[in-house]
Amino acid sequence: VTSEPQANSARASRPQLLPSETVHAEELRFLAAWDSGARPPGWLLTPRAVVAFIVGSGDEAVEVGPRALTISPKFVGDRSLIERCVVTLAGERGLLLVGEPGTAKSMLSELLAAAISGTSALTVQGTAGTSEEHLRYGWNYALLIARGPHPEALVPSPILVAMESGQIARVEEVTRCLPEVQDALISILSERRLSIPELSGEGGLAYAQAGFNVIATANLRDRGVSEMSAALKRRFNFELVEPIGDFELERRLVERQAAAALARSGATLTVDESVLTALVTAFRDLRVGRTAEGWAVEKPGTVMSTAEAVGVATSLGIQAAYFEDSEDALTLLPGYLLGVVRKDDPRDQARLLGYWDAAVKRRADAGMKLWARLWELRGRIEG
Amino acid sequence: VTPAGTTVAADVDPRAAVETLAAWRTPFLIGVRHHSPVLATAVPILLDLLAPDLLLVEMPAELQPWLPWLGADGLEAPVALAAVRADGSGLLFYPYADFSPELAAVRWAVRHGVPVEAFDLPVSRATHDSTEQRTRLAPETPAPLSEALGKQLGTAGGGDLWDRLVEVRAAGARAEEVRRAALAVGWALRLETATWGQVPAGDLQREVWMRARVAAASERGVERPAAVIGAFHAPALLSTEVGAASPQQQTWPSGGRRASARREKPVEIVTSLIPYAFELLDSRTGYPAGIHDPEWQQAVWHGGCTPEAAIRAAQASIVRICRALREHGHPAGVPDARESSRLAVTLASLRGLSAPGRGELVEALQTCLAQGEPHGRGRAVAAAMQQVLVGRRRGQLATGTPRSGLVPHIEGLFSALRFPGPRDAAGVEMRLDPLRSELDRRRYVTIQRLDVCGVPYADALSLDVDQLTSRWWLRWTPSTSAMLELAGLRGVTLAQAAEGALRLRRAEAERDQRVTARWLLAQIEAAAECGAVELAQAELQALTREFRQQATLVELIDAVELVDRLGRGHVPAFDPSIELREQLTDSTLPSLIGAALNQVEGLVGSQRTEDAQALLALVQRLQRGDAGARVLGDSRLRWALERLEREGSPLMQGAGGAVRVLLGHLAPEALGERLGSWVDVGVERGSQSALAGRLRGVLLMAAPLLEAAPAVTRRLFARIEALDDPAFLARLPALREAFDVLSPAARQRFLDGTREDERLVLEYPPVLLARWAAGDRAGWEAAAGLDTEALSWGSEP
Repeated sequence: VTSEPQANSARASRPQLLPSETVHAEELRFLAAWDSGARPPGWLLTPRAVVAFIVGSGDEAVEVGPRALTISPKFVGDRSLIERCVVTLAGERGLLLVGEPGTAKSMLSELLAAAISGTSALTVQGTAGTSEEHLRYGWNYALLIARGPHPEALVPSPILVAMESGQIARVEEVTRCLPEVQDALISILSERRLSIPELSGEGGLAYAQAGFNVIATANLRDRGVSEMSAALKRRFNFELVEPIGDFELERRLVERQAAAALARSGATLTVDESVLTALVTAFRDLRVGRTAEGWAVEKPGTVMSTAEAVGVATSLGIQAAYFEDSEDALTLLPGYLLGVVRKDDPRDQARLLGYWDAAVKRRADAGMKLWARLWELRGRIEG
Repeated sequence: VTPAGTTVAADVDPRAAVETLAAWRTPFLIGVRHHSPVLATAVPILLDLLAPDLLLVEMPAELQPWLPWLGADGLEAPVALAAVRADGSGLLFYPYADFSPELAAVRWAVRHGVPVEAFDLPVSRATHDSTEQRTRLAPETPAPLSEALGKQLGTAGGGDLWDRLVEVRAAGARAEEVRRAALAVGWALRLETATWGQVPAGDLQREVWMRARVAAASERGVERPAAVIGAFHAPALLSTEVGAASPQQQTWPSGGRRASARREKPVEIVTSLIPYAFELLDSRTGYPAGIHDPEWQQAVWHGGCTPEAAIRAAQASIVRICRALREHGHPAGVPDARESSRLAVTLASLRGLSAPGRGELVEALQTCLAQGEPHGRGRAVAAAMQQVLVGRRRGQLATGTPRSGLVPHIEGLFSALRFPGPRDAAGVEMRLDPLRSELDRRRYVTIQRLDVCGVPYADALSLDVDQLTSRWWLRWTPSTSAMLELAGLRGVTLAQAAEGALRLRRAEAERDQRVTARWLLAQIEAAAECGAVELAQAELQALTREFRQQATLVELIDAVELVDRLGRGHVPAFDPSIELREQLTDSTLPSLIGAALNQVEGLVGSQRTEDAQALLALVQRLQRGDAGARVLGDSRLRWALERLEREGSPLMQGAGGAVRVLLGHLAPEALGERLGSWVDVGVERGSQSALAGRLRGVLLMAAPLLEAAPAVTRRLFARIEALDDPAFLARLPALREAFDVLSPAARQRFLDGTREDERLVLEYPPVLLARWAAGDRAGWEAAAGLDTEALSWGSEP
């Protein structure tokens, strides 16, 4: 009986994920005070501070007066990429982040919007069902019928809101929208205004305020950017976001994110470091089609992204945390790997077997214990 | 104290160290990188201020006679100085452009009548070094300092570090500030190398020599010497220590024995000064001592390295690149150019630079123009950038410069090989056996190199089937001389010119987007035949990358054969190292075979006999080694072949089945059974053409199999013989079509293989047999047409 109210209150408000601007609110406030240089109109931070917010301040703390704060790195990758993104957003073109799924494009766009405008909420998720209304505006039909076309009856899209408030709007997976729908962005990006013919007079034209811009993301797997119209492409600067190049950085990222995900579900990460090493190694080998030693292996058709690796590490952690009698993580690893690989194409299972016969066996033969154990588990991926 | 005698300790104050370097006067130090627009601009100003009475430049002493010609008024850069041993080994190559500080210094000295001395270690005394070693900024060592700096500056690597700290920051700076910045970078790299790595013995040897030359100069009474020297070596000149006495008496770590041997017999060194070209100066062609994008460097130098000029140069380049893109049919207009140049300039200011450098320019172009397509449009942008930023500038020597370079080298080489030269009117026929005779090997390689340079000289009369020996017709014609002059632009030795020609081929193919799988194979083969081992090695890397995706099955098999030949050392000029050999057999070959196996899956719908033949070649290859199985596992191939047999086009069904028998995955009897059943189902037109296709597939693969495995044929013929005549006749066109794929000889062998079956020998003339058959059939039909009621009485007498 006593525990019930507690459970209720816990149920009342425990958001699974908070937006970047809330999680990093202190850093954002700090950085705003840190660099007092010139800001592009409508920006909350200077370009330099935005870059620092995303790549972090390294080992040194940022100092403002007596206070000092170490800015945590939030995006693992090339600093110059972030610099180009920031410079693009200060200009007249939108920013289109392209890359393989799971390369943290959406996270990057969220961080940029949070740092520049203080909100990452003005977001449209592109799907096959996205219509022009989602990018322009819709109507509250009850009001529309009751009072006729009237500014109050207008339901602005997140993009229209961003235009009028001079903030960054985000379009996720823009290439999933039909090309005709995507093209609604052309006039917004080039003329920086949106006409609302239903409203007469001044309300009939919405102008983008200083600070407005668009960050879109697109993944190269599904439809790519090939169907995007040339006219729209020219309104964007493109940035290709690559998978993480450095093994150690990736391993640490997987560990950190898996631990964070487990913490959210109330468990601690107990997965062994060597299991994580094996996991990340296998993902990287299969992603590029070449092992760390330089042996050729066959790439599966599935995306072997860092995000997927985090997913596997999290699952391993959850299994260990809630099923005390389950097998050890290393024994479970081949099964999870198979689950990731066998997604799009049944032949990928054969490719994973090939990886086992080629790379895992050679490592086992070379006397690496971890890999010898994995080689013994080959039967688990044959099923 | 390092072996160089320079004090570099971790707790040294960098400011004080750079101050000491800058204040040094014996000699006055100008630390440079081999190519550097800002230093090339600063050098004349610095020299004007100092007015030295001797200029020391970092070139081997043998090049001394060329210095007046290098600084001569009529000379137009780019040009190159070269020094090479008479036997063609140990080539040192120094290309110079207007933006090379050494050239600027030599020009200044010649113009002002100041003596210049090439004060680097003579090539004849050097025990171990290379152009790369002599002209790079710093040796390659673990570089935690550069990495830390690079990370802070958002870049990585030594070259980039110099660009970030000297080139880009120097825009608009005073000459003395530039000099200090350069000395500081050199000092930092030196500290890094000495702390975490080791200064190479060759560098130390040269520095001792250079210190000795400085000491000798002051003994002669020189008062204000100035040295233009690699920034990395500048700290080494602070020491006055010149070794025990003079360089000759030193014993060097690994070259002592060779050095003493050399003292007994002086080495003859051939030097030359030749015109050069920007295409070759671009470091991506892999030519020694180059720099990225020479035309861009030229533009920066031309503008005098002010920020305004750098911005103008960036804008001009961007506009030209957009135009080049449009010429290739990609839209790129004024808005694109405007946005690219805005991005480049803003990016520079975000990074605290006064003007965009090459890095910002490249980043801006990629972001604004490439539209996220690394292949299609991205390639076009890269090609346009190369066209505009590399340029096609050619150099010219001043009138009166002595003749040197390739042509004299060729004349010497030909007489050593006993090849007919320019004075022999008649041609000569030669039979070469390059794998057995060393002389023939050299001759063969020379012929291959001449061919790559486009020099008409040798015609192949015949190549033996085994490709071991060959006959050639050799003759020097006027066009030989003409083409040699042209080839001389690319090098001073034939080997270098051939390699240059191959590198240019790559650059041109990339520019015109002609790098196909077939092209790459030809390029690798040519590079290997010319003995351009490094180049061949670099090109071989591509085999496991784009090539795997682009190549057809036939090309993949060709690649496998080529790699195999290279790995076994069957190409005369190509002697792979053990590592390379291992890489070829352990990595490249399996990767290619893996890609080929992948394509087996893609053959499912193919109707082309070439594809079936390629499949056969692949399988034969697999039977010879286990490389493929190692990559993919045996199960993978089984999977693919089973699928081929189950779901493929008729041709591929037959081929797949036969291949499975060849590999032992399927019993011959089972295939025979299946063949027979294919015959049976050939009742209507569609299934008959399928029958033809399937049989063709089997026959293509397995003519030898059918001869060898009677189990297959026996069942096939059993089914055919069981057919009655109309059924046989209906299938006859299909059977004929199928056997058409065999050559007449193969058909005959096939027939011979089945002769043992006596029933195939006709005992009566065929015409008679046909009549009997017709009679039988008529009788049968007549009987079938009879009223069964009427027939019934026959059984009830």
